Amino acid sequence: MEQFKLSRGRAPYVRPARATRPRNGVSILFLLPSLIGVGVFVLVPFADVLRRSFFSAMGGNFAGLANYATVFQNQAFQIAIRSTARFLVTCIPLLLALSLVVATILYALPTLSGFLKTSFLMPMAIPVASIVFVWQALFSGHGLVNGALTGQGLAAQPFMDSGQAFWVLVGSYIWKNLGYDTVLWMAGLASISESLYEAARVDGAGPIRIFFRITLPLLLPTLYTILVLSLINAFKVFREAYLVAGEYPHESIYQLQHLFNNWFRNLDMDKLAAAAVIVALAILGLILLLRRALDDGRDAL
Amino acid sequence: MKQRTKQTILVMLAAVMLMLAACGQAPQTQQPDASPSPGEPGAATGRYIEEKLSLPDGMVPRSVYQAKDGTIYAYAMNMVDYGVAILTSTDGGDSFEQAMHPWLQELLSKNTVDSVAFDENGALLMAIVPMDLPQGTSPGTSGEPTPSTEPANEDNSTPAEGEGDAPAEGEGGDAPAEDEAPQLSFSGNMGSLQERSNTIIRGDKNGYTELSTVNGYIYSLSYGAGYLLCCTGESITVLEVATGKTLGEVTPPTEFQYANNYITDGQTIAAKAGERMATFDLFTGDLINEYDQKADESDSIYVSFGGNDAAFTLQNDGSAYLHGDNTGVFRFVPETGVTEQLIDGELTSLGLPSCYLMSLLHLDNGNILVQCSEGDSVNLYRYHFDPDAPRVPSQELRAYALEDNLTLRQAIGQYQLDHPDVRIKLEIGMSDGVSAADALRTLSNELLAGRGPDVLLLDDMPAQSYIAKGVLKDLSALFGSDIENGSYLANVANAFAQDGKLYAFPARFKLNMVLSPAATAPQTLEEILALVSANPKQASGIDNHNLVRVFYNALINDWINENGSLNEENLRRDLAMLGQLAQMNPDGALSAEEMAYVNEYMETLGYSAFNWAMGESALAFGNVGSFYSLSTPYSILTSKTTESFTLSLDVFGSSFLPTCVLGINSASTKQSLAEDFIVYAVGPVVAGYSLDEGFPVHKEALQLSAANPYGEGMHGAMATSVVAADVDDDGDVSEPEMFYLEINWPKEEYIDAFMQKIEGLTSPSHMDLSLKTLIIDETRPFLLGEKTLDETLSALNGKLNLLLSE
Repeated sequence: MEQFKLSRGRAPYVRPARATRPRNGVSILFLLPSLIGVGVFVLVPFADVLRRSFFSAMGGNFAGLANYATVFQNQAFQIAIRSTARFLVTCIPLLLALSLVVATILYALPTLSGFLKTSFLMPMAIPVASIVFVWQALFSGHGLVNGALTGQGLAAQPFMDSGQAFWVLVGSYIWKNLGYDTVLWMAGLASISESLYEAARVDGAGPIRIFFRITLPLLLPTLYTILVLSLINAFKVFREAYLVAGEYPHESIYQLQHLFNNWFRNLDMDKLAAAAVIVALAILGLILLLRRALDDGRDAL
Repeated sequence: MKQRTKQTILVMLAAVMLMLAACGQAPQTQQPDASPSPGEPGAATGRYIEEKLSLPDGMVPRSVYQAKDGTIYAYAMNMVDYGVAILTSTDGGDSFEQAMHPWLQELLSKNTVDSVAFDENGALLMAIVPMDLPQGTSPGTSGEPTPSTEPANEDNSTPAEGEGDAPAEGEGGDAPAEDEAPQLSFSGNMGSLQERSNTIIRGDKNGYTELSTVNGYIYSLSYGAGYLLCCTGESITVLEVATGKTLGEVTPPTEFQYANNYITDGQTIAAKAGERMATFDLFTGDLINEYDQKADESDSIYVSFGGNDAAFTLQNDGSAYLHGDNTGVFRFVPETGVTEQLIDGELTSLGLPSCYLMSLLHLDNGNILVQCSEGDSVNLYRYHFDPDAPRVPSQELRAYALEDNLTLRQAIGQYQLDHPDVRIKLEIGMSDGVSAADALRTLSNELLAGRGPDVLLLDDMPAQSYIAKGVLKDLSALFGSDIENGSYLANVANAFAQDGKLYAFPARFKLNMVLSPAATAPQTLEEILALVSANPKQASGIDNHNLVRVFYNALINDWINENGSLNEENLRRDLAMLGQLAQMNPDGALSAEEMAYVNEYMETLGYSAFNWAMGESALAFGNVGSFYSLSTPYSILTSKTTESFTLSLDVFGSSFLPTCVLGINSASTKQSLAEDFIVYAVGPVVAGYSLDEGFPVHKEALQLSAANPYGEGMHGAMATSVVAADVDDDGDVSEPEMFYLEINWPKEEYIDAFMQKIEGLTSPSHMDLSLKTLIIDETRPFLLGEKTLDETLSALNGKLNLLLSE
């Protein structure tokens, strides 16, 4: 086996062995069911959405790019894009950082990590309806938090009718996804060879140096997975926002899904299709950029 | 070779997995329907056919029974001379003869009748009490167009908390005198009803005998197998008719108390409550069996109207029970627990909202006789089984509404009766607890898939959005000429006209009205506030929960600019004034218990007018949807004689609320049939029924609905009763009191002026449910004093801007 040597603090990068490419089409057969599923339930509907984005609401008349122009000028779309982007930009780095810190701590406590991992995963197992109930009990006008505030002589806060709603939603998202991301980080940590840490310690590296020079760079492949999963989960937080605050919440938590939901209710298929295409392209672009950035990062190692 | 074998195995495994995957996701393919379509040769046949029985003129049957010799007996009121008669039919209902027992008229001149039944020999069984009419039913003078009458009696300070439009029976009462002053009074509390003592009599043409006495209000008498069940609600007194002996008092299980009717076979008593049926011992009341009858009814789209428990009877051979309601007539066999539908209510008069089932009989020849109350009349329908009639009509139309709508149901029922080859399936989006948003999304799915309903009832739907998307068919060719020639109120009928096209047609409309002193009749919210402020009690008469709800239709047009954006200035101004009204309201908000009682009436002028009449508020404000509902506040108005008051439409400009708004799905494949139905639905046949969902847009029907249905000088022929009770802070409910208001139909001059005002209406109110719900929900905490105006507007404006900018 090749011996690694730490040199000037740069962590080694091991390119995974190239998978053996099958020499026949058998693997295609295994992929076929899921390919058909993706095709029928994702690609074909998306193609229809793409088509509809160039037609009037009920599909009668060709509208060209008019629907896209309407969407970009739509005030509600602008608000939804703003608040969704703000949520993603706030939540995902926060979640990644917090979960990495927790994972690192837990990884250093092997005797407790099993129990703590399970505890951290509990929020994932709680149904959304229950979470919403707790949320309402805590943050409604007559909720427990306001009860505690007024009990201390402080003014009650309109948590759900002000900008504070955003932070309530952020808190909910972090609480629910922290355990999941922690477990993913821990899996990444477990894949780092102990010999690298031993070698670093022999070379006199302290814990912080080891973390930034060995642990973090070797977690880059894991980061991509966690980032994409966190992004997907961030969009799921709409369920909580919708169930607690309804179709028209405070604009700080008015997300794209609120808008799409309401457009669909009102049969605004023209705007909905155009906006869906815009958002899909934006997310695709974002993921490709992330991929590119991570590949560059790995190549730089 | 080994490689080849492995590949073969892998391919086979993949094939098996594919097959398994296919099994797991078995497509919901539609099996070709082997049975022929309705109307095609070989289609299923056999159904009950309805016939309306012809009764002698003016006869309103109250109790119907078939004696063992096959004769049908009916105890009927004669609406011509306000007497009673016994109707008999020996030909199964084809014809009725009128008879009058000589002793009956004299007996009724001194007694009132609680309830009536017949025994198997056709003898009359009656529960009577000595006449003691409530004082408040005294007759009064007719009102003036702008009447001046005495202020309400200050002593009558108990608040009115409910309203019913049912005419008082008051049979045998003195004819009203024209000169007596009308008044709003009460007859005492409900407790007195429990203290009345009924004499039970049995009589035939030869005379009558007194059988026994039973205390309490007997709302139902049921005869079977020689026993008479005298039902007072919580208990049933069992009498042996042959001897007149009281065998005991049975207390049915709580669920089965106050059942519509009871049946006895001489051993047991059977009762039905909702979807449950039970039999209990005739003599001890012990529960014998309990049955669940969900079966066929659970799939019905119908709901029970007015809490109508099913009419209920025993099959003529005693082996099964028949029960009926607006969904139809069903047969339940206790031994097997099976319920089968005999008559589909949708295809008969039973499904009409105007039809309220009173009783049903299984005649000895297998026919079914149903007694239905329909408005001011009671009709008998006979159903006979025709084995050759197609089981279902050959054409089907789908109608969709977010919430149940009586006008649409009436239209569907009437249309189906007039067109037996057509079935109209009504789908209610918000049934089974489905929210409006979810219902609309489901509807959107169907419309986008091209499988939407043919006819849409657009009440509370985003109608403007549907118009913009081309969902609705242009109806101008259908109604244009009729609107032009004055068949419809053009100003209301064109509420959904855009660019020369008519996309929807409101069958009815409601109006905002105010009842106030004539000198200070308010026309704006500001003037209402000033009037309330100047009143000693400073009350608007509307509880704080509902202030925005009640004023919503009147104010919403001011809150939304013509370009669809929010007018924040007007919203702030009006909310501030509503907040002041809320602060002045001495009673604050109603409790949940009180809300449950009055919720249905809260927005009506009639409800508000009762509060005003009791001196509880400075004015009355609310909506009016028919001349019947107008007659209540009008009668209250005419009960005041010294000060000039007015009942005015000149409030909040000339806005109106279109209701029962009908449109046709432009993608419907049955547009011709849908058009025919819509024309029928807004036409005079359906509009002629006053279902309190709005004044008809059809002019002729509007004129007809304005005519006094009781004839000139018939004051006292009808009265509104109001049960009122106080709920204290501990939730204890005081003993209820019964109020009676004599109704005076508006005078011709008043109606003429009213009609002129209607012609001048110009502004239809917004009717988007999302908008309404958002505004009402967000402003309620402010009106209850839980939020400041700034906090409310800060949250509300943002949300409204989101909604309006979408």
